[in-house]
Amino acid sequence: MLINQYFVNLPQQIARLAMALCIACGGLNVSAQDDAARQIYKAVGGPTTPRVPVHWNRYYDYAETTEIMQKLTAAFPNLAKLESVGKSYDDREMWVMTITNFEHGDERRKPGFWIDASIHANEIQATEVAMYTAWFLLEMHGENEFVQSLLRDRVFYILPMMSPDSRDHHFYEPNTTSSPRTGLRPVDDDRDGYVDEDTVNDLDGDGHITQMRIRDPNGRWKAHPKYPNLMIQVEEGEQGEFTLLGSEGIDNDNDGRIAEDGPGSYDPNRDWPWNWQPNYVQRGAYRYPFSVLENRMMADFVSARPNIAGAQTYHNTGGMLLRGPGAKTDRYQQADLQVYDVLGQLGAQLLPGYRYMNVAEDLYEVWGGEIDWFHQMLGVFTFTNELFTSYLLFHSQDASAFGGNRDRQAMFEQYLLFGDGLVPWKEVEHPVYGKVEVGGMKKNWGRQPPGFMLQEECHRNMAFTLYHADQMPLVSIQSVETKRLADGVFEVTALIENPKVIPTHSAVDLQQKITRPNLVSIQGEGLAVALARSSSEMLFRNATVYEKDPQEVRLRNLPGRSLTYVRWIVSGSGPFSISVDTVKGGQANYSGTLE
Amino acid sequence: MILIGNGARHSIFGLILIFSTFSLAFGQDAAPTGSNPALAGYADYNEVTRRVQELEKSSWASARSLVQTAGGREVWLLTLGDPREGCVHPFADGPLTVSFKEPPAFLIVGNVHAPHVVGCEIALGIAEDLVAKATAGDEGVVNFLKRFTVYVIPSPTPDATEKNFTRRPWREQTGNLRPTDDDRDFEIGEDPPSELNGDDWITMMRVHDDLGTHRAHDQDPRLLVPVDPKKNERGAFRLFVEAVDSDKDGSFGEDASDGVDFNRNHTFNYKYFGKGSGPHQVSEPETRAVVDFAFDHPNIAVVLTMTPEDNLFKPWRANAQAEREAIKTTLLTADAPFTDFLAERFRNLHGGKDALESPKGEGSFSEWAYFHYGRWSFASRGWWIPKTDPPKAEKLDDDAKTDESKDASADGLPAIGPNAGALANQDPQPGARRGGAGGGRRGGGPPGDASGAATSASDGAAGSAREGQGSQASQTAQELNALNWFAANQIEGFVDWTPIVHPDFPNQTVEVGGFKPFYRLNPPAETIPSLIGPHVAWLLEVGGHLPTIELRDAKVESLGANLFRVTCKVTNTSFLPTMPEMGRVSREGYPLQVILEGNQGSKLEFIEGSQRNSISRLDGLGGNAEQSWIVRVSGEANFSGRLLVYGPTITPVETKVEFK
Ligand SMILES: [Zn+2]
Repeated sequence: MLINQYFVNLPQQIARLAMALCIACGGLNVSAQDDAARQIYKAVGGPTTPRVPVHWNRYYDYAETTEIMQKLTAAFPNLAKLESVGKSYDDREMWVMTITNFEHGDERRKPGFWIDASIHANEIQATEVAMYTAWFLLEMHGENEFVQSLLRDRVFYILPMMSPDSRDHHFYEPNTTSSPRTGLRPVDDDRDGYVDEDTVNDLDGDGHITQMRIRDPNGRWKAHPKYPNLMIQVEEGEQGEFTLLGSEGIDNDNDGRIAEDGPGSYDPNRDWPWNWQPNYVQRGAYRYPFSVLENRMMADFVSARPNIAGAQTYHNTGGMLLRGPGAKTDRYQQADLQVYDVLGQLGAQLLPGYRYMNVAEDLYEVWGGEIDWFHQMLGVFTFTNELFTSYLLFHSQDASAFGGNRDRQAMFEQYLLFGDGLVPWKEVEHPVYGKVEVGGMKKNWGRQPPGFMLQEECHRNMAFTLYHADQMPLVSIQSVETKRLADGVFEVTALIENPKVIPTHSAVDLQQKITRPNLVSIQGEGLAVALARSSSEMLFRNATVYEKDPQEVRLRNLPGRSLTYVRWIVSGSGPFSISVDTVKGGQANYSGTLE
Repeated sequence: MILIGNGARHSIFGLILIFSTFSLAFGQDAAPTGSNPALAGYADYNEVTRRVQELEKSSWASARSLVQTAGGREVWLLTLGDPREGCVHPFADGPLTVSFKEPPAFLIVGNVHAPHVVGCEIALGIAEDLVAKATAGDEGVVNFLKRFTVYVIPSPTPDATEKNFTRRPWREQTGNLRPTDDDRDFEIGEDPPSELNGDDWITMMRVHDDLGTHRAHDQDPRLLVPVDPKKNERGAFRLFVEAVDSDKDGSFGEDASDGVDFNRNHTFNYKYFGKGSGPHQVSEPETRAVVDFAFDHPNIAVVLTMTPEDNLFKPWRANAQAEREAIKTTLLTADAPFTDFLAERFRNLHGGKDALESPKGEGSFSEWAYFHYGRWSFASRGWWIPKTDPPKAEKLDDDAKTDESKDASADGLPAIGPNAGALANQDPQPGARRGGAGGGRRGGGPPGDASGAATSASDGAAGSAREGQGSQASQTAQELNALNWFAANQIEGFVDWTPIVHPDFPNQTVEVGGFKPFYRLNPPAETIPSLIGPHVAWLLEVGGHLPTIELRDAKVESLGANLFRVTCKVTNTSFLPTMPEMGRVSREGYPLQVILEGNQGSKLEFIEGSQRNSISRLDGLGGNAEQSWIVRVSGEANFSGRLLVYGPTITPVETKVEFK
């Protein structure tokens, strides 16, 4: 087993045991009705007595996350389904939960929302945010109208661990807060014929890859006067105490470089087909799009569900609501950007310290990122939330995006974490450098919120994503009017509404012909349809005329927050029905009689 | 573009298939089958398999399947070489990856463009020739196969190739069996080309129309050329692929659900949402298998692709301006002298003349091999129609023509432009050229109109048969030459225009005719053997130019106190550098590794330098890298060790060092 001795500490063992007990007793919980009767004092915005109690102030490894999903689907059989899209490189199931009210409508015909997380496995809390969302939707279904309507009209697909192998690697192998970003396929990174022969070395055996320093009166570094574990550079002319030697490690393959060939080294989020570029242009690209099998299996699942109309793919860090495009040479169409703006600007308000940004212009260029694939090849409006920001440390803005100002971080670590975020410097023997000291930030501090802040991160990010999901198109027939033109000849006018922000077809979808048009049809025994017209306004001054197959009007798009009038001239009489059938916006039906 | 009626509702939901990236579900192939007369004498899938298995009987060859296609066919890989007597890697028993222990290699891929079946024949023929010669003890070939491995994938997309052999009516088909919506109208294969004149060839159809987009060629009225509005030319025809408009959308034969084209499915210059390019790059099992094989074999130094996108007769051009961009799209200047030289050697050995222009790749294999795989990548068309004089009899009939146009014809130049003006009054085609004011429709035919295309139905409705691109003038010249060559060789490669009754043009004269597919892309089968030799000779020569590494000036100086300075020059004595510059830029090339190690009993402590260094790239013709170490030696007496250079694309070398 890979559970290293050094990493087993008692509090975590206890927490895990408590967790198992909670899950075990979940089935015995009293129902919500009983709770109401007992007048439990409820903290608003969360479930009263969850069937599957989960602590959202801690992190779960692959097995624990799997177990929570299994408990949830067992506890809510009519709302949740668990399946695997396939096995990862290292033989872990790629779980995806389908969450909807299965008793109401066909899952595959409801507008679908995709959530995935931790494609960069070191971005640990992304999984908890996705899991919290699944848990919240299921546990709140019985007591919240908004959640109930969401699960009635929408379907959620949640894949919380995009890189399950690397998630466990982060938990159980020596790492930093930034590793492993890669998957674990063996790659000869340094192209010397040996594969993964020079990985990191955890010199003090504590499971954290920290820093090395060596005592040196002429060194350029010293301990921070207030936070002695923090190293700072000395002033010009000032006496130093240490020389820094970089990350914990040894040159295992004697080529003069330390830890240059560890497992993997590809970036699974540079593996997507749109605007893909090879490694020399886009660091981290593997062989070709979807050469990372986990992505390929996920893409297979998503591509088979054209009902997916919105997506979120969680990462850390920096407090960002990111939209594409990833490359400066790429463009999203104006109509699509307007949709992103509406969603992103609200999101920035729901998430204090988070900014709504474009990847290429505001962050850095990304070729072959997942969100570009979603938008440019599937026509799906997609965000990446970069979870956690140094703003949250003291609820004030910090100049630097990643990790934040080191003094602020050290102060937080000292006064709010009570030293739990750092490994104090201690002496070890290095085979080349001799006596050195290792110490510094633990792998579970830096990019991840501490336990007491985790639940709020989960909830606020979920809230933005549920807003995004709620704004997926949802078609309805607002009214149908019939008018007799002559004996047995009628004019039938249906008013079709999409009240949501997102259109049934994004501009790129229309341009690339990705999703078939919306079908608005009229049917009735012995009814003959002579002509159909559609218009965006009641006077039909800009009408589109349908002479071919007028009984089934093909509307290229039902834009966001729009009304569309469809008018038929029919001969015959009696009962008739009108149906609106869309791929991404659901369906609507109406029945009436012509007389 | 077709919009969907009620009856088609189910097929809408069937469109999931197109977007389903990997779950390939294939309908039964309902197309009528037969045996393509244009490919008589060519090896179909079963014959290729038989020949592969025959080769495997030789100890010089082994065969395995890289993948099974959706159609149940194997993508065969032949490996030629002499593993028992080939170079033995100094670390053969060590932990190096397998492909580092195999000798430097050539990868030869045939038939990437499925109708270009001669590409399979040449690739397979090269393998057969090498094995036969090695078996017969040909010294050059034996030495070649001792130094190099030769991987041959004769038919990388066998499902697509087999369509050309068996699926009637005959047309050039490039794609595999994945159902595709070629015109992106949410219906799959609703409007294929259709056989209208009963000859089983999909050719062209022309609709007489005095406002048409094409006119008959002045020299040979069987050929049609687009009218030039700038010259106030008038058309006589509208030109379409042979088809009925099955889906009544005004386009003809625009969706035959032709599948995914191997040679459009690669990552370089990939055309998103393009016909035949697949749902994304490297989407098909056969593409993945071939590309993964290449990545798994860093010992591949040279890739030779048999394809119409030839770069041996028409070498790629460097562009110093363009290569400053971060994304490289042109041959790098540093590589041009080498590719130019090797291409010239090929032309000399081949002896061909008047080669056709090469079509530009989109997601093509051979461009991927250079730009994304970072290897020397060469591409050979193998064959094209040789320059042929018009038949004598026809020349006599040409009395009416002016001397001027005869001269033009002899040069193979089309008689359009200034020459054509002289023929205005003699043009037999009504409406081909009329004076008067302009106006009317100009090139404004509906989509599916083969406007601007040659008289050919190849490659679906696109009209470009990959016989070559280039100007309209050179295309027309090629067509005239093809007619001459057909006549000289009694090949029925052209269907004369014959009237048919067409349901979509009830009151118009419609004729079917034009070039038959395949005949301009593949030679008569009896020509094939003569095409093998030049390719083999060239491969042997390229082998001689691949890098040879020597350890020169190896020296040990004692510095006292058991300290020694060890120096050497890692030198490449051959013509070619250790990798193309594109290999270095793309980081796909593998550096050389230089190791200094002590023999048993000699412990080395590295004071300066680390035990192993890497050298990213060495130029040819003496390109070298100096290496230097200071080591402290301890252990028993008679200190010694060795210097060693290895890398997947070179034959490893070592030299002894003595510390004294
Ligand atoms: Zn990330």
